[in-house]
Amino acid sequence: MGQTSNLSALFSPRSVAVLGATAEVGRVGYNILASLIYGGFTGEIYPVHPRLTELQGLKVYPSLREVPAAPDLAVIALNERATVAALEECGRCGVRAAVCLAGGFKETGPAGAQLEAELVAVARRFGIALVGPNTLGMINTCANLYATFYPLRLAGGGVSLISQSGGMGLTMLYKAVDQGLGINKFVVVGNRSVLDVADYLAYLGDDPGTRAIGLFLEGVDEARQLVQLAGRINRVKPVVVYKAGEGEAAAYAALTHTGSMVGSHRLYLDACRQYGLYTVNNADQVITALKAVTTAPLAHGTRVAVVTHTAGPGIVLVDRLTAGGAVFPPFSPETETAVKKVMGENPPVVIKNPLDAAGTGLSPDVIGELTAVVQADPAFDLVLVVFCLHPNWPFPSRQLAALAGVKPLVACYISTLAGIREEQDVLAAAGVPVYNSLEEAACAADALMWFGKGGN
Amino acid sequence: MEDEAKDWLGRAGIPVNPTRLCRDSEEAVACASAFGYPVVLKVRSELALHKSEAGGVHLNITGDEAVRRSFTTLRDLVRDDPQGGVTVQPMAPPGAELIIGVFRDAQFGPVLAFGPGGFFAELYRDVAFRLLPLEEAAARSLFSSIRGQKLLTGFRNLPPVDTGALVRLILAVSALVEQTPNLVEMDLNPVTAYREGVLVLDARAVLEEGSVEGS
Repeated sequence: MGQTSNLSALFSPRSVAVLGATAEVGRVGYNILASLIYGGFTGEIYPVHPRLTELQGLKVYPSLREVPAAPDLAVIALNERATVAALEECGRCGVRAAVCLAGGFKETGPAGAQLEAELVAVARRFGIALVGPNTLGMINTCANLYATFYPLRLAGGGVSLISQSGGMGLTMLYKAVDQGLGINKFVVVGNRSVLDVADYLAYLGDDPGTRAIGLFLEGVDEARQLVQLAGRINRVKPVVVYKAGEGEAAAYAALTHTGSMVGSHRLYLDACRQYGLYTVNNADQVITALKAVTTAPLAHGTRVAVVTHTAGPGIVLVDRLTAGGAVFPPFSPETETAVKKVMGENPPVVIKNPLDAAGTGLSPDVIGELTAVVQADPAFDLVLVVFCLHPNWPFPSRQLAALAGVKPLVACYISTLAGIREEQDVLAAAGVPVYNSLEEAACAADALMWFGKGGN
Repeated sequence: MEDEAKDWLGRAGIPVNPTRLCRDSEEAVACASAFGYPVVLKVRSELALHKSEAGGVHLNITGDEAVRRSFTTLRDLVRDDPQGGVTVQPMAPPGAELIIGVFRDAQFGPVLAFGPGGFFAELYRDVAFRLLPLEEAAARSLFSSIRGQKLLTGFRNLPPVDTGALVRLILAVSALVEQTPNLVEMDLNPVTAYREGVLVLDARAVLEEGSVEGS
């Protein structure tokens, strides 16, 4: 099948043609070109328009045939009828991959479905790897290829995302920016009329740049095959799934009438978990979990310790993590002795897990030393550190970075996003994921434990 | 019908509460004595799929005379059904009640559903799913996937159940589904789990051509 073998032309083209490029700022055809330029695409960009001669500083070609060399990828920002004709032209010119942005196909009814069938026939005839139609587009940061109509520049990284929705795709991307998580590849699958979720997934499974994969799903055909494929990939690269449609749970038939429980949400989640995929409840958690598994080592068990200078967050973390099977064992006598050595012989706190160091823990050095002591206790598989933003008590990032090793450390800085911006980079480089909410930190720890035990 | 479904399951190595179709009250008495008292008598009819709602289940019957009376009452309930009959089975001791269901999902193909049985199953919809066929680890992970897992680990007067036997039962169901491509759906309801062993008390199976069912 040409469609899947041409996926490399799709993600790593040497040149991109933009069909439907326009000078009108409010149009998709303007913004797709702006996005390619702003992203700094490393190859050639060929805007195509029958009358214009220059757009955003680039020479415009009157037709695809007049472009100097057949582009590997064409982004088609024309209406649905013109898209079919344009794809035909792409096929004749030797284009191997196309992103068809226009909606108006099968999602609109029988006439649209007929048009989509024509589009698919053209793609198959020429073996074109086609994204969409009805898509926001795709990104490959390795090639500075931003083939969406939302101009972006993202930090590179090992995380790739497949989204069944443009809006949810952007939700994940913007969250990744906020969390300081780099992105490798990103694709919004649209109507999936040629390339389906499984095709992208298989490609990313083999892609050396992709270390972990996030999926936003609304619903696909052949869900069994998709989940099993994801399960095979998950043995080498963590796969995180957010499946929308929880409301379907209301449609559960009674267990005694199992035959009618078709496509229920719980079935989806259970099937994902059966194959070791990590399922989450929202798009933010996709990014949170992926950041954890691509930053920190996986946890080899479910025994968690918390080091903090404020009691409440410790209690909340216990709440959140216990639901996922985590346990919070007591400190060993040796650890207790070592904690006393750090805090003084009669510290004004109770020495237990979670460890609330109270006033003494306002010093980043003390938190660092306590973390070192707790981390060394073989009774724990993962350590969470909570610290609150303050102008005079700096975050213990330097101290925690020095402790990063084979046992995962997760930092939770109670803070504004701006307050942890610089800390993110220091800690990420060392292998310590940092979050500014307890929910995120708990999700991160849960994911490290899930993947550490191979799922289930 | 229940007795046919159970025979079929029994042949596949699944522990079922044996159930015999009896033609007359004397056969029922002979059957009951062979099983040992107490026993359960149920109507057997295509016309009465929900047996207990129709008053077609007599539990805890002890003694030959009680079996005769029960047989006559139940036989009367299905007198309009020429194929109708009455079955006899041992009265199983109480244990943790569970449901195991199998169905074919349009998206996922053969799926196993597992959860607590009885009243709470209906109330809480506490059910976990696994795609079939499944392996031992996936079967075992079902137990921690339901909210009512205390039913299995021991709660109040209920002892911890034989999860090993439960895993073997689930794996046997998985194998049976693999070998039966024309199985549309199946309910083992209830499955009773004990400190030692498990027992399928009632079963219903629908095959693409004709059905082998109970309930």
